[in-house]
Amino acid sequence: MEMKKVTISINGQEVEATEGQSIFEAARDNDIYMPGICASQPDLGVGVIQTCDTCFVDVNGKLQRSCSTKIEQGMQVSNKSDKVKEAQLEGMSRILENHELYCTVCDNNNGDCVVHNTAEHLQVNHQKYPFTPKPYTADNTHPFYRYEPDQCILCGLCVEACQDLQVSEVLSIDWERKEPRVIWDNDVPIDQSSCVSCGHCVSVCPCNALMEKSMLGEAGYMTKIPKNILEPMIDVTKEVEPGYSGIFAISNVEAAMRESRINKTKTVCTYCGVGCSFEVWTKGRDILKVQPHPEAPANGISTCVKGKFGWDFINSQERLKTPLIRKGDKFVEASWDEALSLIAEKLQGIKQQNGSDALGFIASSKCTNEENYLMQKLARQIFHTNNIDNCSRYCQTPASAGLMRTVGIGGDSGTIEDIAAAELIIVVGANPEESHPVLATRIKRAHKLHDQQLVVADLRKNGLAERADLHLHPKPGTDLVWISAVAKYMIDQGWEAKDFLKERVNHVEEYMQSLDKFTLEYAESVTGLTQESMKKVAEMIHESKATCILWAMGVTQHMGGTDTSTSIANLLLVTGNFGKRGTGAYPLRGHNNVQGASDFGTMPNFFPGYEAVDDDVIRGRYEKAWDTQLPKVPGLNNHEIVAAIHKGSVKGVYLFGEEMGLVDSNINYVHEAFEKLDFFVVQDVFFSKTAQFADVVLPAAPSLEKEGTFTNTERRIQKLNKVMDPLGDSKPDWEIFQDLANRLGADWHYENPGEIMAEAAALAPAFAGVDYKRLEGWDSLVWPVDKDGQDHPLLYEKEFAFPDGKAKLFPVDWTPPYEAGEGYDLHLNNGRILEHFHEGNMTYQSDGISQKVPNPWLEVSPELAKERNIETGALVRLTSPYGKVKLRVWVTDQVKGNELYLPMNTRKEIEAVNKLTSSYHDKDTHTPNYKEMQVKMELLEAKGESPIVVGNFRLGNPQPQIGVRVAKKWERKDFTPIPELIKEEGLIDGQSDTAN
Amino acid sequence: MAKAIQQIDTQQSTAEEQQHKEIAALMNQIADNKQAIASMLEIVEQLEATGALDIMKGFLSAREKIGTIAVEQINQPNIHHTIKNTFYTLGFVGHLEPEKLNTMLASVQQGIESASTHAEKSEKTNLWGLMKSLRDPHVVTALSTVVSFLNGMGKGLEEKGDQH
Repeated sequence: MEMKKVTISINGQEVEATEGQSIFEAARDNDIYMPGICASQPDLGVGVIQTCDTCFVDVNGKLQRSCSTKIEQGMQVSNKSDKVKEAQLEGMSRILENHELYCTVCDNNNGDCVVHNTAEHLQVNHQKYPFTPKPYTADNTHPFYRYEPDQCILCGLCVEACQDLQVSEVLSIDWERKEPRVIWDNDVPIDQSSCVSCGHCVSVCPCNALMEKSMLGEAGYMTKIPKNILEPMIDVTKEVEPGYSGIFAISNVEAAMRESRINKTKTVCTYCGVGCSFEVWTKGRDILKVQPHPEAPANGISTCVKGKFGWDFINSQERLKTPLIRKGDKFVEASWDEALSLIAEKLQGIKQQNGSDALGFIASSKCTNEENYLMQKLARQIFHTNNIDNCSRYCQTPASAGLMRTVGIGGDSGTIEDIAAAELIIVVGANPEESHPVLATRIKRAHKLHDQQLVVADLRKNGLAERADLHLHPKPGTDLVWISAVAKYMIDQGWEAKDFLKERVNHVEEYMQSLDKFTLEYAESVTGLTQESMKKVAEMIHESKATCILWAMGVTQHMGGTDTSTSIANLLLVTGNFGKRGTGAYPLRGHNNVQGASDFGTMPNFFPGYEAVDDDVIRGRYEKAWDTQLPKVPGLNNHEIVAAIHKGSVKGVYLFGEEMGLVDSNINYVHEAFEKLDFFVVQDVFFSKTAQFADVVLPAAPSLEKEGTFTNTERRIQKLNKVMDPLGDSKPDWEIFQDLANRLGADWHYENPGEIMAEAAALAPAFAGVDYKRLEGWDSLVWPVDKDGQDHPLLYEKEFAFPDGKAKLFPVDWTPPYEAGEGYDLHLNNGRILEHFHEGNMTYQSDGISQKVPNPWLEVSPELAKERNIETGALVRLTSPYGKVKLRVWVTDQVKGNELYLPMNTRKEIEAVNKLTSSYHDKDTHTPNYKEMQVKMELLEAKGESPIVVGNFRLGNPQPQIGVRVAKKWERKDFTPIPELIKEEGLIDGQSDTAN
Repeated sequence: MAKAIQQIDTQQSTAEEQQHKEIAALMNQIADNKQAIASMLEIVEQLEATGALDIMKGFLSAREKIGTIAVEQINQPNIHHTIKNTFYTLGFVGHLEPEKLNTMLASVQQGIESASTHAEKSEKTNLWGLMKSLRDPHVVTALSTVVSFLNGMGKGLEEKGDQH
């Protein structure tokens, strides 16, 4: 879409800009500086904010805000006349009435302070209106950030970010009180509000009013000065100041000095699959803050609580710092030399005695692409086995399999931009607001501001379901049925995309026949959904020009997980929702590198780029490159490795970066398997539950301590850079693999991960053009990447990923979910929560997060609570045929009827949901059926403290509104529009551009 | 058969070994910078001998108290004036053109000399003598300079008056 160009004149200079832009944007894009504090965050803003009043310009002789004035052909703009200067200065003076300038002793004086830089640019020399403190004390209640009303300039950027970008709708400015300020919910202390700690407000604050507590007293050279010295010093400075220019000179010098000791390194988040990138500010090993950037491709300036604040684990005392070797009934610290020699000897011994396939390798979706590539190379080249898998087996392999069946590529069809641009979003079995928080913000924003329609099908009335235009609550495990019924109904109505099917899709007839049984009546009886609601979904898809379907574990972790994923792809194909902006299938990846681990070959049947190991030509390519014979037969997956240990055929396992002992289903069974192993190597950042079973534990380095790439849910490859050195004797996983391989006679010489990526790119056509040179700064590549570096953010625009370029409709049938049997009367649902990542091994290391969410809880519906006479705080035991857990109850209408929800974050086995889950699994991919379990519930203690403590956002009281409501500011009696004031004060028309 | 265990034997000597390691690293650094460190030690020796180190020690250990006192002392109206006046004076001097100032100061110097000679003689000049001296071209030059100065200053005062 080419936008029309318009030419205007700014200060006599002709500039070209895009139609529809504001003067401010036109100036910015042409590198003409325009003051504008509240316009400093391009990601924000519903239109414009218009609170700061520093951007006045002369437009054809009239004073107007450059941020809110659209450009017109031939417009004459000046921001240099005396009148303009006076207006801008007036705006700035009003800001400084609210903000005490003591830059040199301010932690925000890092060269990027918007208020400082604007005041300096405007050559503010004296305070026109004296600074007056507001009658409010600073709010220090939140563990991660503080609000200082005395420094707050009331620009409302934080409010915009909270209301319209993050859409948590917590912050507002109360314009009606005598001294306006930002308030949380209906004016409660921050920590008692519905604040989800995402950090948007802090990241966008143009001064020091909202600051990360980790910055305070740490960023500046003189900011740690005690208050009793600091305050008189500020007084002196103010008293004698010879004009601000001198102060700015000093503060600029100090800001420059800070650069020598504060490092700012771009990294990619290590938590979920959204793939946020940001800069980490460090002083030595101390993390001062995480600062997102508008140019970050997946997230812009957005973060969630974990990415913004959850990094304490890096410096945790509990980190593994040295290799450990099991000796008798304890672990003894060892050198790398001892540990690696022992591993080499033992694994080699098992291979020689029992054959290559007596070994199993379990890779990590937390580690980099390069590390996963090396692990599969180690397994295949050195140990000659395909027994390698990664933890996407626990979550999203069924989604990939479903997509490979139908459209050819096991990944999201487009990017987060497509999700934001869609007219209709359907979310099935997922809770993105908590599990993929930043991605969810794009949906919430589009839904709130841009009329995007939203359907959520989930057992729980989760955050997105609350907002949805339609919330479907099908019976557990029946999604395939209603999805297929919607497809059939649409075809019956003649609403299918006829041309699309004719030109681009195979097996249409066969598929349509397979739908015969999926009548609305049948679907109603199986799913419990009304026929009306299914018709409504069909109508919404029919009316939408671009529909995306997003799904996650609620779909995949079932015995029919692959089939349900397939039915989603089928529905999208039938309605032509592939290959256009705003359409497609989006399996939401759970870990930072779930996508990449599989992409780079830690799978039993695939080399990197999903190329089959049993294809002679492909295998031949790797055999030539690695100079060895490679095994042809696909190996065992995670699930099969555990079974094979029980059977006695697998005797040695090497596992890295995976807490299999807690997150695999039916963990009792998994623990028994680990006990049977002859030799078990566990490589991790922490001494995990899994590590307790190991013979050798190797200390690995987390993402901040190494270089590499992660691939997010969009298929976007992004580079992380080393922020600090590995702690103690820990090492990046890729170095460990290389050291071990070389002990076993390999001749690997990777100097850095870039060389590993170069090798992978040369071997796997899907990554042919991936090169570290193309991943510098905020640059990223969305695979497939052609040799010349061309990437493909939106798939299937011209053809699907099959030899004839056509998609395949793939008939599927419903697999009824597992039934635990007589007496197990309550359905057990489970998953993540916002604050803790997964089981919480990293996030529990954060005092702030642990303070807000110290423990998991069991969600019980009000109906069930009433029936069983249970209240919030009661202690109950849940029993399944596989095990027992004990938890305190939270009664909430998020869950319905006899359905329970148990989050998986815990540090105690007795609360671990996988004590309850079974070893049944998806029939096609062996992904455990975590979501199919029924339990009995016994009351142990009728009363107790609520597991949801003060500080938990779920107790808050959000206050939705659009934007900062600047009109309320303008209605205040003490507000005079600047153009009026300039007129009154006599700097009037007639006096003109003498400055030019 | 490997049961889950949690017992980790941390090597007792680890702290000591760690220290040894760090000392060794430090020694290397010292050896690499032998000359610089030797000079530094000599300076420290001198500082100790003169008692400067003692003063610094006292100052540093009482830094917060001293800081408070110092800032309190500075935060007084008369000090504010001093600092402000310093800024103004510096500003004033900065505006003068060096060449002109030089001429003026040289003249003033000569004037002072002449005045002091006159004072030493301790002769009284009568009114007539004063009138007569007005014919002296040197006196006329000086007087007309003073008058021009007064003229300029008056203009400056008027402008200020306009502004306030």
